[in-house]
Amino acid sequence: MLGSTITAIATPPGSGGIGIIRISGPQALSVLQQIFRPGRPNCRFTPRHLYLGHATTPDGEEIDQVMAVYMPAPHSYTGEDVAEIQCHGGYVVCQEVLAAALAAGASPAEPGEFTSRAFINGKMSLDQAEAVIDIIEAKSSEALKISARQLSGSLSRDITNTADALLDLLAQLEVAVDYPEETDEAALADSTHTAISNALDNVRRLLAQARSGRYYREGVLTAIIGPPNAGKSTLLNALLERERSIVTPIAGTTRDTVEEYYLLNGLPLRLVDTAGIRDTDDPVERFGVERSRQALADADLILLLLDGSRPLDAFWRDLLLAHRHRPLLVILNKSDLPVDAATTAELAALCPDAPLLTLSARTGGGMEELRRAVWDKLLLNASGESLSGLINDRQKAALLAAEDALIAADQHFELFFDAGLLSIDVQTAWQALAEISGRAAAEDVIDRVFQRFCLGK
Amino acid sequence: MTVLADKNESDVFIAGEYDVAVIGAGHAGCEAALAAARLGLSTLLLTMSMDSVAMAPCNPSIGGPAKGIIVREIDALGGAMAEVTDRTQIQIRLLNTGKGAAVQAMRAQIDKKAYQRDMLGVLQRQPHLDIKQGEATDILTTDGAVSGVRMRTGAVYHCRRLIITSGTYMKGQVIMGSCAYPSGPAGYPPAAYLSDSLRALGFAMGRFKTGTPARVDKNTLDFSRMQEQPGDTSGLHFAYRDQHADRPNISCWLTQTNAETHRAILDNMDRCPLYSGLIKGVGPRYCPSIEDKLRRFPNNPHHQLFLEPEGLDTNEYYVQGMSTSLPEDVQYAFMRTIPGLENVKIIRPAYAIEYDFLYPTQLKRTLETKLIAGLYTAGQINGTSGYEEAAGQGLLAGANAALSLLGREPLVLGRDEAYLGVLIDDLVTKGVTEPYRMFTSLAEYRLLLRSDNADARLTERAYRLGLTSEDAYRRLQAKQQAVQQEKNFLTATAIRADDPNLRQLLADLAMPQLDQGIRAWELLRRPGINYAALCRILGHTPAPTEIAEQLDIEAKYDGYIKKQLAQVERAKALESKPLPTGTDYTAISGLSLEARQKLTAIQPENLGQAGRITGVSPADIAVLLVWLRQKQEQRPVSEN
Repeated sequence: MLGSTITAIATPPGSGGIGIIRISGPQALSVLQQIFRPGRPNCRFTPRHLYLGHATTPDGEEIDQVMAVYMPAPHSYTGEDVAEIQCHGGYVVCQEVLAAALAAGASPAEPGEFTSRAFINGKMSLDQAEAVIDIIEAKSSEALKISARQLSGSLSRDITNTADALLDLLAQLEVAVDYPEETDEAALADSTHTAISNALDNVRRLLAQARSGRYYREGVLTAIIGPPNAGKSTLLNALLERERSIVTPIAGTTRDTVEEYYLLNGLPLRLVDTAGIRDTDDPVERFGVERSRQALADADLILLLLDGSRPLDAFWRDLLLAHRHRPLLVILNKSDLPVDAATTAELAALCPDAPLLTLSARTGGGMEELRRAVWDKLLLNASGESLSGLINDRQKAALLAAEDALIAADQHFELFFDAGLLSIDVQTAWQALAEISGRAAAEDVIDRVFQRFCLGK
Repeated sequence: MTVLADKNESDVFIAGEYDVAVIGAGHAGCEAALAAARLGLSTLLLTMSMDSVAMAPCNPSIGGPAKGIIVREIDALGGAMAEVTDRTQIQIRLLNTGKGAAVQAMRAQIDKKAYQRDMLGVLQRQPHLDIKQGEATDILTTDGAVSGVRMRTGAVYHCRRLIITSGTYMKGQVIMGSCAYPSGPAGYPPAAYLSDSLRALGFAMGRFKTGTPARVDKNTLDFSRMQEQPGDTSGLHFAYRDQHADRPNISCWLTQTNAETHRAILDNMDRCPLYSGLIKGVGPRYCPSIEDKLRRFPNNPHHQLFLEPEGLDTNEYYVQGMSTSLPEDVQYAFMRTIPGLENVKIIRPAYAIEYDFLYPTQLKRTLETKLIAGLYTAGQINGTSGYEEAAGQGLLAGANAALSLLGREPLVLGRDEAYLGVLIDDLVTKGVTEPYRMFTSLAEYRLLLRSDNADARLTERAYRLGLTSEDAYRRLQAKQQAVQQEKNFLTATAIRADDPNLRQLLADLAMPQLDQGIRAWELLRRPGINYAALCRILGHTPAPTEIAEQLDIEAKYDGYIKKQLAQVERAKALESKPLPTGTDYTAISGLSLEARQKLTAIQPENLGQAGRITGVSPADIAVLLVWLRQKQEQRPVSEN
């Protein structure tokens, strides 16, 4: 156990229903006793029982009516003695309870310190620690489910199996290095080649999952484009009207690209309304246009909304041509006027791969088709094969490194067979995989994992 | 009346004073004494017998896979083993020639007596070095630091640094069948007291076993029934300085055991001290006795054995692969079933020997003991096996003892710099459970640690420390310049696609013709094309072999070398994280129980070393990383 007792507000800043102040370390109980006055006297703090009472300053001055719980080591989140106080969620109240805990002898926790203590105390593995962040940051319940699965170690298992196979292979190569005259090179080359191909397949499968994982975790960046008055805002509003489950304004966006979250059957879409995308001479407007163009360039999915009763103009025709190989859906907004047959034909010719959808933003008709089209476009596995874990940037980078090394190993066979050289690539691949699950330690890995934590976790 | 004592307790006198004293003049002791003396320190080398200096009591060969690279490292660091081998070898070969550069190594058969005489000459010519005969019995300390050594006869030598290289002599016991008696190797007396002195100082000591096969009379061997193993005739040599020694080339001979041999051994297994319990020490797995091989590989119908000459002017042949502790009559019975050995006469029977060693996790990476300042150990006392492993440790122990007196940085080699770095790191970090022998696979960066580049890896550093001559350094520089010049030439030279010599070469190699011209250097990168062939099509006079070798390797392995360097860099991140000394790891509950115990006992210097401790997993290292980080964040007491 690390000597000091730490404390922090464990709930997000701002007003909420309740706020939780977490205290962890050998003095947790003592701190709790100093700042919590139980409703009934002679409270003995039975482990993991909730007690009603009042939070006070160490001098006995009342702060708020609260609930308190004490969880002695090792059966707590950090594996240390932990006490938690649930107070009313106002900013000031939380700060005052925290100040009381600090005054009672606790020191302020660093970001991620609770989790890193849990890690040091053997309560969770590296990828499980990482999953904790993913859960905190999860944008949808589907993402949450996948992260929870990762917390239980299924990503580890997938990667560990592949890494173990490579380790076995390394052992065989080492024998060949020590006893070259006793090695059947042809047989070893054969079995090695097979093992490397299998590992490469596994890594590629995980990489494919990485893409889906990112969609679930960060949301699909979806650019809604189209000429003015085609009904973009109506579409946006219709979407948001129907499912208001997550509507989070993203900090840092300006008014010219409005970003909203829309949950499409568990898949979070980050909708960007690029209203200003149009040639313009207005210098003020041009800035907005640049942003919109950037959003369009970065988009995972482009929804082009057109008024079906009008012919295409040159600007949109060029734009369609430029983006027709990207994940693009063309949506004809059903206005009162009939769809222009020439336009439909032109669209089909311009981008044969883009499905043509019709939608009535007013009645909401066509949403189911839209969902299916999005699924197909993003190549998501709609059959519900469970992703073994959200794969984040760190894990993805490691998978890519493993893929590179395995490709190099695979190509090795085209030239000649040298067990000693091959083992270099296999070692690199193994190292990369082992780092994902924390079976090989590297400092930058630890950095990347624990730096993502916020205060109070 | 005077009572005679086994060990003199009364006639104690001060016999001399030295900076560095070395106990034992085997391969480790010789290099240790030479290194200390080369650094200008007054050095004393103690040997139980002047006749056993630099003795090779087991096989008559130096080098082999990985070991041969160690010999070259010793040479690059200014040691003597390579040069003495070159002057006394009677056969030399390059092993694994068909394999990659990383696994190639040389092995020489030596004339054992000539080797000893030559090494003795090197020692006697070395300034600042005295050699004395006698048995060291006691290590003298003052305030926890070494102050001297006492001999059995009562002579005391004061010294500021003491290096023990006791080989298999400490409480040595020879075992053959049901017979066991105190003895050092090859009939020399054992060191009866020295390990008691180490125990009294608080060192944990263990017992290992090793063995050596019989020496047989050449006149009783029928070579016509064996397969000849001739040596290389291209002038191979271990030392980077070619002495152009004109050496004989004597063949070794290969034969093998059969079902009858195995029956003769298995029928007498009850007489084997290893299985009857007489031998208590742990033996090496990789150099097993013939009875061990039969137990472990019951399905092998044959086991190979090599007949190797012990020297030019002796009839003795060493029976490589037939180490045994079975009694002499059984040795006769099974050997005479082997083709070519039907009428064999044994000159020296095979025997096993048990001896005391010091658990090497009690050492720092300088080979100084953690317990007694100024006390160093090297060679078999550290649980290793092999002349080369011993000599390398001796050199580093001698150099570090001297460097510490000179107040200079120690010479600690990384795992990416030398096999010797791997060897010592393994010893002090992982410890030993059986005699440690160097293998290629033990070096994770083996492509960097080649036989051809030990000079590039180590010579400059040795020169700066004063361990090797300016000559050696200049020679290295000249070699590297020549390589660069030749590479520049090849990079600048273009070959046309329709060059008839090129077309012929590609046709000969069954390779597709080129449709456009190519730089010579690029052509060299292709598998199957070597520098010699390239020179032929260019009509270019080839550079000497050692230059050609560098060009071939650089062209072919460049990509892999870069990858290996990247791995080294990655590992360095952990090597550069120091761990506080005196840490009680038992309090970190996220560590596995075994890791907590091992880390507390070994007290690794950094995270990289910690990760190599057996029983410390990467998950443990991750825990230590986070723990270290939290220790560093010594946050001030809160004020809010």
